[in-house]
Amino acid sequence: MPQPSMAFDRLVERHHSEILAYLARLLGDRQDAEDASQEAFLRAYRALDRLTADANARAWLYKIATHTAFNALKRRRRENARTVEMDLDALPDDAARVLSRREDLRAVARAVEALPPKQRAALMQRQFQGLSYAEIALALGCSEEAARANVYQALKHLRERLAGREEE
Amino acid sequence: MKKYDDELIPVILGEAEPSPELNRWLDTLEGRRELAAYHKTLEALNELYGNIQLSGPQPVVYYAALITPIGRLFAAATETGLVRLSFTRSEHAFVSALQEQLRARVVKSSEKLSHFAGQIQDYLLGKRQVFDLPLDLRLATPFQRQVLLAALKIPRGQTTTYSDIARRIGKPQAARAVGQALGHNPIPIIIPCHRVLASDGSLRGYSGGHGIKTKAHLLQLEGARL
Repeated sequence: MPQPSMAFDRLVERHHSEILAYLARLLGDRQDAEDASQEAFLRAYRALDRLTADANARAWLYKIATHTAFNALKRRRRENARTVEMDLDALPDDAARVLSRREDLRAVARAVEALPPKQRAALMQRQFQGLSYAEIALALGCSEEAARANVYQALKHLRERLAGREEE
Repeated sequence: MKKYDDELIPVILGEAEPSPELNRWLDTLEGRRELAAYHKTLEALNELYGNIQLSGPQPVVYYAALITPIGRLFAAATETGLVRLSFTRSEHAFVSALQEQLRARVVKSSEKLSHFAGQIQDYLLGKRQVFDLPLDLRLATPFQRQVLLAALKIPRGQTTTYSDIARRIGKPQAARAVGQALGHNPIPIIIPCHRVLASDGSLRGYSGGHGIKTKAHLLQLEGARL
C-alpha cells in the first residue's frame, strides 16, 4: 500500500496540466484557472481517503475541479456580474475575412460564456479533455444520458447563436 | 428544420452514422447549410479553446516555401513538429491562417524547416520511401486526430476506404465523418489521406494541389495499383 502522499503526488503529476487546461476552458481566464486548480487539488488531497482503489481517479478529479469551478463562477456572478471576454484583439486583423471571422469567434465565445455551467463543463470535457460519456457522468454526478444531452444542448446553443449573428 | 438537430449532432461528432432519411436531408440546401453551420461552430470552438496557452511567451511557428515536383508547398513547424503543409498559392493566406489558428508569431525560416523540407522534397522526387518526422496535430480536433493517426498507419503503396478507417477507430458508422476529417488534414502527403478511397475504389476527392490529379499522382509515385 503506497503512502497517501505518494499517491497524491502521482495524481498531481499525471493530471495537473490537463485539469489546469480544463479549468481555463471552463473559466475563460488563466489566473482564475490557476486559483481554482490550487483549490481543487487541495480539496482532492483532503478527500484522498475517500477515493477507493477501483475508482476512476481521473473522473474523480474532474468532479472536484468542476465543483470548484462552479463555485468560482457563482462567486464571480455575485461580485459584479463580471464576464470574461477572450482576448481576441491579440489576433491580427488585416482583411475583411479575418474581421468577419473574428466576429464569428466573438459570437461563439459569448455564447460559451452564456451556456449553463453544466453544459459548458460537459462540452469541454467531451470535446477537449477526451472524457467518455461515462466519465462525464461521473464528473457531473448525472446519468450517461444526461451527460450526452448536455453536450448536444451546448452545441445546439452555440450553433443558434452563430446563426443569429449571420441573420443580423 | 430543428427536428434534425438531435440526429445531426452525434453524426458530426463522429458518434453515429446518419440514417437514410438524414442523409437525404443532408443533400438538400437546408441540410447542407445546417451541416456547414455546425462545422463552423466546431471550428470556432476549436480555435478558441483547442489550444489553451497556460504560460510563457507567445509561441513561435516557423515556416518556409518548398519547391517540389508537384508545385510550391508551404510548410510550418512548431517545437513539437510539423504542424501544417499546404498547397495554397497565397503565402499571405497561409501565414494569417496560422497566426489565427495557433495564436503564434509566424516567422519565415528555411533553415528551421530544412529537415522537414528535405524529406518532403526527396519523397516527391521518388528518392525517399517513408517519412521519419515528428508531427504536431494541434490543428485537428480530437476526433480528427483519431482519424489522422489511423490514416498514418496505411503503408506506402496501399490504399484503404473511408469505412475501413471508421472501423479501425472503433466507429464503424462514422464513414462520412471520417471523410470530412480527412478533408481537413492539416499535414497532407505526410499523413497519407490520399491513400483513402471511396468504397467503390474511386478516388473520390482531394482538396490539395490539382485535386484528384494530385491524389492520383501521389498514388502512382508510391506504386499503388489504381
